[in-house]
Amino acid sequence: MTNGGYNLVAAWRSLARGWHEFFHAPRDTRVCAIVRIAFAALVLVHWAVLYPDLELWYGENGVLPAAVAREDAGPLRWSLLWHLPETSATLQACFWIAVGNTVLLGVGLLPRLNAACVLVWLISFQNRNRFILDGEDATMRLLALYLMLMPCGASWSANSLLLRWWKGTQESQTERHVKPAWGLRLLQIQMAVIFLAAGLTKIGDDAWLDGTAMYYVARLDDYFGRLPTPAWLFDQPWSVAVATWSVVLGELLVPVCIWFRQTRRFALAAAVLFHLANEWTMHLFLFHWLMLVGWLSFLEPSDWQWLLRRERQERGDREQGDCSVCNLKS
Amino acid sequence: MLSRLRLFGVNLLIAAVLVLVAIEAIPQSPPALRALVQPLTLRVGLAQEWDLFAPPDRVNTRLRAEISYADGQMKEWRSPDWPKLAPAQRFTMHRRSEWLDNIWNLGDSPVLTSWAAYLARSERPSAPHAEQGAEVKIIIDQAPIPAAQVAPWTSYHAPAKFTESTTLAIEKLP
Repeated sequence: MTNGGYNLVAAWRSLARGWHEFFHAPRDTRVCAIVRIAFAALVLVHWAVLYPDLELWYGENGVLPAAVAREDAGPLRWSLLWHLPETSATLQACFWIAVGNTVLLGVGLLPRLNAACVLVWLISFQNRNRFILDGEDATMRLLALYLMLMPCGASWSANSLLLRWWKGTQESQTERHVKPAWGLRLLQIQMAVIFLAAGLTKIGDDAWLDGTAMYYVARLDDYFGRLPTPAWLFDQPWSVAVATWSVVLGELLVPVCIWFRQTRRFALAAAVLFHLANEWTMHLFLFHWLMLVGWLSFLEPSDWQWLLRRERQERGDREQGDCSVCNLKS
Repeated sequence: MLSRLRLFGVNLLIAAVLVLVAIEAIPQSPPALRALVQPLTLRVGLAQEWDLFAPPDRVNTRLRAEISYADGQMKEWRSPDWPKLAPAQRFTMHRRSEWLDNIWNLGDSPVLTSWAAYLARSERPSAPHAEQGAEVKIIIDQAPIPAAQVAPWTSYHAPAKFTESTTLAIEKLP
């Protein structure tokens, strides 16, 4: 009994230590900065595409007047737009404030506050018209939420520049770019959950299990056929089955393999390949680019050091090769 | 003391987010539990569903509307023929595609009525209040994708054949 009790305490302590290490250990905040900048750039594309149709989607003379939208949204969804005058000028003002918040988030001036503002605007516009939404809107909203929770202004931001100038301190690179970042960990978990949930939904569906789902997907003409793909790829039962099961396998394995040091890079590469392949074949607006931004949260400093090392090595090899040629000539 | 309290608060927040995300996202989570957390997830922006093409749709659709104005004039509106558009056009028109995809199976909804009024207005932009007294018939043209079990397969490059038409709604605008 005592032994059992002891084990329980030890297990709890070990769990608490693991939790603390996982969520609160210092992490490279440049990863947060990369996510922040890439996210802001994509949200600006989203606003730019939305702008010509603002009145169509959100105006009183558009497809969905506020009263109808509010009735459809029910009591749980909220939108700032419902509490403001329903005029074109208000809509324009809200839109440009949202753009301003996104720009400030991108340059990193009060980035967490601006991430919160972007989140509020995204929710407000999304709830104002729910019938134009797709997966990318949920991803956009979630990324804004997690950015709000991570030290996304600690590196490569106007905030950090101003702070250093104000304090006049000369921190080392390591000190400057390392902080606990539990928000980044939450984003990583969220990304894994998205893939896992998509995979688990698919294994409950006959077409994904019997290997024919991609046959149907490839024939949906409002989504499929973005850039040229070989005809045999989606016209042969065997290749369709391979494509279908690869999707399911990828969605179930990547969220597991991404957490292990030995498989992390392979999982990350598989996720990138998956999104780029989808982007090549399908019209899904910004969904895959937003997902790629989310996967950036798994980057480790060793990844780009590894890349830099490789490049340096190749350059070194080239120079050595040139030299040997020179030597031969001389 | 204050930092310990702060750490405790942060850990509590982390745990709450993890629980909410798990309940919201994992398809096997009990619907009653999901309904319980939805008031919170919808409000804070954590609501999510990842049934990406599961199950895949088995039909291509196009919407059109026949508009009879009060003065007897007739107009017809048709949704874009998506495969004929350039990738850049489809990128910028993505929201239109989503709108059409999301409204056709709403049934008898005020959303269709407001859309019908918009169509009647936008098809005669020079006539003020053109929608008043107009009748808008909303029709869906469907091209079912043959079952994968039926051989031989038609190429995915082949244009969809719209063989079925159904009237979704007849909106008589006040």
